[in-house]
Amino acid sequence: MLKRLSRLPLIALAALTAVGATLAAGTLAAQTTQPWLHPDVQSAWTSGFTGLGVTISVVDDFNSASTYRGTVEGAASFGTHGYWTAAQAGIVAPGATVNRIDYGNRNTPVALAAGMNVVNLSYGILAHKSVRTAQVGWGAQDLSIITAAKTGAAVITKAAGNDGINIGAANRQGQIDQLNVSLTGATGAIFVGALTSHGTLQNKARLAAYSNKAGTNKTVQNQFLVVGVPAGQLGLQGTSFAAPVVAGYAAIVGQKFDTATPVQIRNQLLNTARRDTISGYNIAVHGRGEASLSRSLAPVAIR
Amino acid sequence: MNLTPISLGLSAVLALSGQAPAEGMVLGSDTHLVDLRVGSAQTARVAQSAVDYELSDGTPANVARFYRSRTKDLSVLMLTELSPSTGLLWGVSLGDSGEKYRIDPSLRLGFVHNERIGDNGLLALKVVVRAGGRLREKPCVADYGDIGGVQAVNCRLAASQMRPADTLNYLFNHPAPDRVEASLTMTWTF
Repeated sequence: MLKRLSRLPLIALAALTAVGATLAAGTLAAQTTQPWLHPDVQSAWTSGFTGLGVTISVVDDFNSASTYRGTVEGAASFGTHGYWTAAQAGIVAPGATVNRIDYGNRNTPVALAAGMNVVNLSYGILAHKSVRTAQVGWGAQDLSIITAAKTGAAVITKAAGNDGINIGAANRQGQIDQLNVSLTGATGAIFVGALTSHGTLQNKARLAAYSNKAGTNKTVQNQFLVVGVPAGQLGLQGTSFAAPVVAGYAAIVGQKFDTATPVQIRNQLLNTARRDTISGYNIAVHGRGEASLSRSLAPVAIR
Repeated sequence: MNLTPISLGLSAVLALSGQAPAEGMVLGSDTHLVDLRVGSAQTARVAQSAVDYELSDGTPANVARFYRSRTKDLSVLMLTELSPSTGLLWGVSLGDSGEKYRIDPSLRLGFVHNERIGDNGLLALKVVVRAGGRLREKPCVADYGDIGGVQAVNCRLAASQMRPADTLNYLFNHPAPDRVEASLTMTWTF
């Protein structure tokens, strides 16, 4: 099983050293369809909407020696965890500017760009359940992201986690993802869980066994989405590879509604999620439902 | 379906050539009905473009209702003989409209001239021009909720990835596609 969500024990985090500023920034690959993409994305490209004018900051591991084999870009190759999550965001929204920021650079705040910003977090900050949130050794990078989420300065897409538990609960090792705890109720944040496939009315999708769930906390339920993570096509699996998809959707929605605030874009994605494409939909499992790019672009009514 | 022209079309060439006088609808000694149609290419274009989509809650937008024809475009083309080889073509189209489009009425005027070439040949020149018949589309009002508010949009493109205001650049505003028709036909019988 792949390491689906980077687990960073508190002690280990504190020991990490800053490893440089923002890495290569710029538009990633030209729009190339991939079999793991939802058909809605191709429709967006056909209409010329690729996330242009929006900045997606992918905070992840770009520098470690840990690499994974993936087929995100078609042919199999190896890359760091961040390489793949950034590649995904760039493939979904090829017109967006993708900033790659190493999460080891914890003492430097994440600087938001002018215009619409999306920040993708496909990692967790795990601490033993006995540690209170305030006791976590937050870095300037973490605090800048949490502040952006709470003030609605950016859309924050956060991988739900891969322990098959409810958001906010302790895993088998007795650890809680404190980043999830800190983002609960933040007006810019979306938790993203993983379905095993894209859902349709004919072939409804199921939550991946590893994916964390929304749980019974209504605040979490209201900010929880799921998307398909077709492992066979990505060569990777985990909620790490669900969150960048929603980051790309946010960029495309942000291009269409270019005067909307990050909070409005986040709410649009949540409010237009589909429940009818999920097998046994349950708000405590799937939250608001499967993110739907096409519905998030459509009007409520027309006359 | 209103796209299919109900055509009572006769060749103006034949009407003048005397080869098939029984096929023409003779209204006077010198005037014949040569074409009668319901619907037009413009009507078809509008109807075919009305592809439905879902609103944000998944219910169908039912876009086709905006482009359903309230009045059928009725077109008549007449031929008045000016001489045994020359005729005046004239006619009208009444136009067409639906809730979000309108095809203006139009007038058609032209001539047809036949020249015999030997015993077996016939050369026919036909020119018809149309004045009017422009297709115009009206915008819809779309409610995008908190994210986009209420905006004027192109009804057909409201759910596209395009900015709502940009969709207005794609409203139909086209002249009739057959503003000038000209044909030169040679028939050789053997």
